[in-house]
Amino acid sequence: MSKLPVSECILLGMPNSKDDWKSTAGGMGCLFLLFVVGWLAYGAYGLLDESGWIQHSHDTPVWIEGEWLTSEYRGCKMPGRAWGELPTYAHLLCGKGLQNIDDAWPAPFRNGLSPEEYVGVFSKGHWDTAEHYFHVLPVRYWGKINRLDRDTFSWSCQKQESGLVCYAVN
Amino acid sequence: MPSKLAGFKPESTPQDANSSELSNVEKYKMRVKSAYGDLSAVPAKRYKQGLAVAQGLDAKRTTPKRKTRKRTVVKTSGK
Repeated sequence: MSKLPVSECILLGMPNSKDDWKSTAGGMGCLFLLFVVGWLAYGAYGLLDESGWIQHSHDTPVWIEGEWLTSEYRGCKMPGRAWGELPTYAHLLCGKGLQNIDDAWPAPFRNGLSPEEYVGVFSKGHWDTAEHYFHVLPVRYWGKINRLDRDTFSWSCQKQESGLVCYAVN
Repeated sequence: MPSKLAGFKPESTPQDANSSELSNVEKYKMRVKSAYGDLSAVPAKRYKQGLAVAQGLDAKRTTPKRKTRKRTVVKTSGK
């Protein structure tokens, strides 16, 4: 079985000899080999995704502080699963500058919420009451979006002619 | 400027925010901590208002619905 390379396994498929037990064993070996290769590929994809080497596209509501020039970089915060599953409920809060150190949201966004909006966002945990502050833009993410390891995620985003490109920071 | 919440000790962040075991108050505290970084940075008035709403949601969730008795109409033969 070890003599059969993966390409031969794919091309030949299962052995067609009915009586030759060696062929059957070779076929089983092929299947096992394909399974291992698939498993390794899946693992490698996961590792690459975790490391930010895989791109994901998602139309995302974005809060933008002031004017954001094309090709300008900003540090954006993405609230985590306490506001719903990611990427379905993903929202980006992009204040001016690159504040990547702490995970707190941009103060102008928090302070700009009316009492009703504050209650909606924090007490009820949904974005409905504050949705009018957001612009839905096509965003290309380099890094995994559907993460669970933090409450808020940081992205370094660049404004482009057609949306944003964001790179995972933490 | 609103007064800051003084002397409030931040609580540990629960692991699963979407878990049904978490109360609305716990979720509220977690969300606020996540947004402000530290609970002591939240304006006190706003924090208390939000907390009251979360407590109200919890009360609604735990209080059993009152059974409504079907109204019976008694027909009286009148003359």
